[in-house]
Amino acid sequence: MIKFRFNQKISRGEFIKKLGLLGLTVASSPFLIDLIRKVEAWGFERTKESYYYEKLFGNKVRCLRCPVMCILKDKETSFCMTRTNIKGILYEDTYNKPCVINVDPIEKGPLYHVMPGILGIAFGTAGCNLRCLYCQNWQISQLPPTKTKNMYLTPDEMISKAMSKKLKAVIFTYTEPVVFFDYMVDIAKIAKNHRLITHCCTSAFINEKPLKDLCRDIDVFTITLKGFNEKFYQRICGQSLKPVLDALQVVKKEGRWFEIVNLIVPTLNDDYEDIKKMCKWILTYLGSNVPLHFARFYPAYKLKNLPQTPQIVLEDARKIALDCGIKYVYIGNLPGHEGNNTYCPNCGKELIQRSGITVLKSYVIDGKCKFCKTSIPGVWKI
Amino acid sequence: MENLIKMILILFFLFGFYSTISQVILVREFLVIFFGNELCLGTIFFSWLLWISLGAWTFKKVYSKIINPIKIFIVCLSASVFTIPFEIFIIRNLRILLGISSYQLFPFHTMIISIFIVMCPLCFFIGFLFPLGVKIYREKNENALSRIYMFESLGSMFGGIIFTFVLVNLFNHFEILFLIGLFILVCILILVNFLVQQRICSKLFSYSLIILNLVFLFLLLSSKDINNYLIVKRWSSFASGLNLIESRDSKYQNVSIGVREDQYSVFENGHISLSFPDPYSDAIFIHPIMVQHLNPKKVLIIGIPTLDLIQEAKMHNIDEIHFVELDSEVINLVRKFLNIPEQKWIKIFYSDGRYFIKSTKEKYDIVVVNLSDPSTSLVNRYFTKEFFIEAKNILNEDGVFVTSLTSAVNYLGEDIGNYNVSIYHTLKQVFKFSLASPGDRTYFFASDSDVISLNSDILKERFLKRGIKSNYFNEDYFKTLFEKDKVEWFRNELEKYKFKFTNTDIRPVTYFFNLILWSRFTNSYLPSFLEKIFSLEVILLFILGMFLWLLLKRPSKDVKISIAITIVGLSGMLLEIILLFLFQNLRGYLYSEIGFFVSLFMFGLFLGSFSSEKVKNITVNIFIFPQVVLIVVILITSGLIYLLKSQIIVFIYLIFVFLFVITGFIIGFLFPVANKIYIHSGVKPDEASSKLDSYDHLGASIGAILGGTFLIPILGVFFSCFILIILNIFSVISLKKEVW
Repeated sequence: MIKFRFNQKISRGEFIKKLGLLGLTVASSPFLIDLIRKVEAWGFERTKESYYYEKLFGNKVRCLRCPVMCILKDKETSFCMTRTNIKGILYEDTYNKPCVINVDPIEKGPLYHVMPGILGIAFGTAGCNLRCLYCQNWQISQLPPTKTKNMYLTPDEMISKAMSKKLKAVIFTYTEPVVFFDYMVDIAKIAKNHRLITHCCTSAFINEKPLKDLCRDIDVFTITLKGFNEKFYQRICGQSLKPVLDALQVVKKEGRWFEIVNLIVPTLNDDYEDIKKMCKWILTYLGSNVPLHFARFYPAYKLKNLPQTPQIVLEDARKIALDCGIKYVYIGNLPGHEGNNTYCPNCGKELIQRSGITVLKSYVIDGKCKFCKTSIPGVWKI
Repeated sequence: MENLIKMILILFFLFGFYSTISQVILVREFLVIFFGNELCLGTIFFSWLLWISLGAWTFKKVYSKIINPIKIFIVCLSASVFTIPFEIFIIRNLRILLGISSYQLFPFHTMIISIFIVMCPLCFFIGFLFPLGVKIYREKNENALSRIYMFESLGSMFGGIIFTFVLVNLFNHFEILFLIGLFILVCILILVNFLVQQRICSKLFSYSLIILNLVFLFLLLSSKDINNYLIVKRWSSFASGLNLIESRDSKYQNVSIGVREDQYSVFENGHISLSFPDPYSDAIFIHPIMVQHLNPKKVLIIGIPTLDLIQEAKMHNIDEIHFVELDSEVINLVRKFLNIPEQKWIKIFYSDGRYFIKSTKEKYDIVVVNLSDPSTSLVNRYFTKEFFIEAKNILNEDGVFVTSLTSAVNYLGEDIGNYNVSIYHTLKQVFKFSLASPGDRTYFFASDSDVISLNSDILKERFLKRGIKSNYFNEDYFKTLFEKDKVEWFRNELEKYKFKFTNTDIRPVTYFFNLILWSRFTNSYLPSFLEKIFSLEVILLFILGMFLWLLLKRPSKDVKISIAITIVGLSGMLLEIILLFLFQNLRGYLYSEIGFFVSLFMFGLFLGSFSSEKVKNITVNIFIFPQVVLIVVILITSGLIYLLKSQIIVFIYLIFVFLFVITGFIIGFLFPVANKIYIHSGVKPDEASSKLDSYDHLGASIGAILGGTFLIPILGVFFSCFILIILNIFSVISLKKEVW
C-alpha cells in the first residue's frame, strides 16, 4: 500500500491502473487533436477536383503538383494544407476561396521589366508548400483554408472585378500560387481573353509537368530563389533547392519572361561565395538578361531576432552580380537607393527611376533605351 | 550546543541571502536565453516555488530515516552552493543542448520544461533544508520554525538589497555566486570543526570540506574566465554569425553588442533592440512621424537614440529632441560605436519613460514610443489607456502621439487582429483622432487635432514645403508606405472587429495577446488554450465545486489547514504581484523602489514570524483573524487604483508601504501559527514543518504562474482580487466550522 493524496490509500495495482489510464490519455491526445481538426473542417465546401494527381490502391491518391508528392489516404490533407482526398478524389480546397485581394502595382512582385506602373488585381489563398521561417504572410501561408476568413469568388467573378476597376493585370501572389494552382490556371485562361497580363509570384517549388502547362497561361513570373545553399533551403524554408533550379530552367525554356528575387537574410544566406555561385549559375543557365533583385530582409515571423540586412551586403551582392555579367541587378526595400533604378547596360544612363513601388520616370521607349536605342529585355506592351 | 544553534541560524541567514541572489541571477540568465516574456517569468517563479514545495514534501517522506540530521544538513547545504554555478552553465548552453537554432524563438513547451528541470537542484535543497534545519534547531528551542523563518527572511531581504545596489555593479554573476558560496562554505567548515571537537563528525568529514573550500577558491579565482567563456558560448547560441564585441550586466538587464559587416546590433536580454548605422530604416521611421505635425518644434522619443534618427529629424527644423532610456549602459555601449553629438538641443534622460512622462513639466509637439512589442507587463505600461492619458497631458494642443506594434501586411487573423485592435480602440478612447498605418509594423498616430493624416498626397505636400533633401527618403515614398487601398482596408478591418478590448493598467490585455502571438511563432497553442480556461465563469465554477466538496466530504482539520495555508501562500504571492504591478502603473517604474518594496514584504515576513512567537494559546481562531485581515487587504488593493488616482505621491507611498508590510506580516505570522496548529492537532513536529513549507510554496507557485501571465491580463486586477477574496472566505468558513 502506498499513500496517495490526503491520506487516501490506494493499492499499488490501482495506482498502476490510474497511471496507465493517464498514459493512455496522453498517448491518444494526438488522435484527439486530429479528430477535433477534422470536426472543425466539416462543412467546408470542396467542389473542384484537382488537376495533377493519380489514384492509387484503396482510395489513396498521390498529388503530382509539387515535388513533395504527398500520398494521401481518404480524408487526408496534403502538406501544403490545400488539397484533400475525399474517397479517392483529390480536391483543391482553395478553389474560389481567396483570403486576400488587393490592387497592387506590378512593381510590387517585384517585376521591373514589365509595363512599368500598371496596376493589377492581386490575390492569394491560404496554405503553402514551403515553411519559410521569415514568411511575411505567415498568417495565411501557415494555415489551411479551413482556418482563414475567405471570400468566395469564381474565376469569372475575379476577372469581372479586375475589369470593373480597369486594371491591366492579374497577379497571383502573397502566398505560394502553386497551392491554388487550378484556380490560378482557370483565372489565367479567362484573363487572356480580356487581354490582361497574368503575373505569378512563386517560389517555383513545382513539378515539371504542371509548370510547363502553367507557362502556357501565365505571361510573366517573379521567381524567388531563396538562397543558393541546400542547407539553407532545408533548414529555413523546409524544402530543397534542386527542384527550384530545375523549375527556373523550365520557365526559361518555355520562353516566359521572369525575374528572380533573392532575399538576403543576415547570417543565414548572405555568404558572398554562395551569392557568386548563384550569379554564375544564373548566367550560365538563364542568361545575362534575367533581372535579379536582391531584397533587404526585415525581421519577421520566426526570425524576429536577426538584424535587418546591412546596406553594404546588398550593395556588395549587387556588385558581385554585375561583375559576373548579369545586366539588370536591383536592390529592393531600400527606397531611393540607386539600386532601385534601371540603367542601360550599353550607355549606362538611368532608364527607369523608382521610389519604392512608384515609377518616377521612364526612358524606355518601345522596349529600347531612349538615349542609345539599345533593346531592353522585358514585356513593355501587351 | 549553544554555538551550534547560533551557527545554524547564521547559516540560514546566509542561505536566505544566497538563495535570493541566486533567484535574481537565474531570472536574469533565463531572460537572456528566452528573450523574456511574462510566461517565462511566471514559469521561473512557479518552478522555483514548486521545487521548494517538493523538497519539503520529500523531507516529510524521509525524516524518520534520518539518523544524523546535522551531517545531512551540512552535505545538502554544501551541495546546494555548488548547484547554482552549474545551473548557470546549463542555462547558457541550453540552446546548444536542446538544438534550438540561434534565430529561433524558444518553443513554449520546451521553455517551460527546461526551466522546470534546471531549477530543480537548488530549489529542491532549499525546500529540504528548511524542515531539516527546524528539526535540528527544535532540540533547543520550541519556536524553531519561526526563528529559522525569520533569519531566512532577513537574509533574503538583505540579499535583494545588496545585490541590486552593490554586487551587480561590481562583479559578474559567477564572481558574486562564488564569493558568497565560499563564505557559506567557510562558515560550514567552522561548524564542522566545532562538530569534530564535539565528536559528532569525523576528521575525514572536515578534510573533505577543506578540499571543497579550496575548489571553490579556485573557482572564485577563475570566475572571470569562466564567465567570459560562457558568455561567448551563449552569444554563439542566440546571435551566431555576429561578432560579439561586448556584453555587460547592467542593473536592469544584460546588454550585448555585436557586429556584422559594419552594422552593429544591440541585444537587450538576448533580444535584438537596435541595429546601426541604418539611415534608411531611421529615415523611413522618422519622416512619416514628423510630417504628422504641421510645425514640430519639440520632440520626445522613448527609446534609444541613433545619429541618423537625430539627423533626419533635424531636417524638419525642430528646436529640441529629447530621448528617454532607462538603462544608461545601453546608451554608453551605443555611444562607443556611434557619435551622438553632445548639443543643447539633444537631451537624453536616463529614466523610466512612464515615470518621466508623469513627472516632466515639459510640453511636446510629438511624443513617440519607440519600444519593442509589449511582451511583458513592464513594457505593456506604455500601451495602456492611463499611459496614453499621461502622454496626452504633456502634448501641446495640436500635439501628436505615436506608437507601434507588430502587425500584418495583407491579412489580419484573429491573433494579430485582437492585438492591434486592443491598442487602436484604447487610443480612440483617449484621443479625438487616431489612425493606424498598415504594414509589418503598424504605426498608430493619435491627436486631439485633425492634423494627422495617412493621405500620401497631403504628407508629400508637407514634406516638400519643408524643403527637405534626404539621401534616404523622398516625398514619393509616402505613396508606398500609405497605399490608399491598404490604408482603407486596414481601417475597416480594425473598425469591424467584434471584440474591442481596452488595454488598461488594471486589465492589461495587450501583453496577453502578445503572448498568444508569440505562441503562434513557436507553434504552441498553450496560451490560447489557457485563455479559455481562465474565464471568470470557469474559475468561479471551480471554487463552487470546492465549496460543495467541503460541504459533502467534510475533510479533516488537518486537510483544512493544508488548504488554508495553500490559499494563504497563493494569496501572498498574487497580492505581491498585484501590488508591484499597481505601484509601477501609478508611480512609474523605479527599479530601486521595486527592490525596496520586495524588501518591505520580506521585512513583513520577519515581523510576522517574530510576533507569532508571542502567541501562546493556539486555536484555529488565531489563524482565522489574520486571514480576515488579509481579505480586507485584498479588498483595499482591488480599489486602490481608483482610490489613489488623484492623491499626492507621499500618500501613495505610505499606502503601499503599509500594504506590503501587512501582507508580509500576515503570511509571516500565519506560517508558524499553522505549524503550531498542526502539532496541536497531533501531527508530528518534523512532518508539520515540512508539510507546511510544502503547501505554502505550492500555493505560492500557483500564484506565480497564474498571476502575471493569465489572471491579471485576462480577468484584470479587480476580478483577480475578487477570486482571492472568495478563496480566502472559503478557507475561513471551512476553518470556522472546525471551531464550532
